[in-house]
Amino acid sequence: MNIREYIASGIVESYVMGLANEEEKAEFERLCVTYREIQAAREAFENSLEKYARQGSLLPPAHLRNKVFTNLANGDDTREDR
Amino acid sequence: MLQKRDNQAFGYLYDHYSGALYSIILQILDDTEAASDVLQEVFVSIWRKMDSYDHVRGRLFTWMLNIARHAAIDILRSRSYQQGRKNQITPENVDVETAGFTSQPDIDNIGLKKMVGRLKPEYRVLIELSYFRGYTHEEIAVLEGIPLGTVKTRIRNALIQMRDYLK
Repeated sequence: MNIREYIASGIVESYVMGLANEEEKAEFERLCVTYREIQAAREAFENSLEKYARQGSLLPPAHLRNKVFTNLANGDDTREDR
Repeated sequence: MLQKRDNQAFGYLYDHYSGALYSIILQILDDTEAASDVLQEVFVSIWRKMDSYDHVRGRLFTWMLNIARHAAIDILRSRSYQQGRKNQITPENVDVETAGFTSQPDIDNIGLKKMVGRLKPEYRVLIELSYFRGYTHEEIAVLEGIPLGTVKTRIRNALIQMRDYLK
């Protein structure tokens, strides 16, 4: 398989943005383990996406922080595997 | 009960990421009240699912962003939410020029929405429907009356363009 073409196909972005279908996801995850270049491309895109998304942050209402903490503290904190 | 250490870890997560997650939720819902409810749910859900996060698959932020996006789309597409909105959004009336609906903060000028606005119209509508409204490629092909292969190619091309904007 041509790794360079695969990386240039938009699959990396599609995977990271959550738009790949199950089959594409499984293949991508498999290939990521085998090919460092694919993993590196994914990490590079994830980094720039995170940076951009954080630049576009909007402050949620201030009272929300306490509300979330209270929810979790009131026994609503059971993690699925506990 | 939250342990003290958990408390600190959660505080860190919240302080670090709530703004970016709130932003994406708001870009999808364009409703500050609904977005606040979703953000709250999202953090509880992130906390609960934390042990299923697998760093091999990607960054923590990517994982959280996708949880937030899905949660917002679930609300957007829920019947009660649709009925509660003054102007129902249906795929048929997606207007790519004004796809930000009514306004609270001007979500068209925030984050990914802003970037999508730079795409050409035939790309923009597909990212709007897939990323911001949660339609599958198959559904979009039917809605837009274009072949599935074309939907996929255009979405891929649009994403590549967005990646280049991010650089």
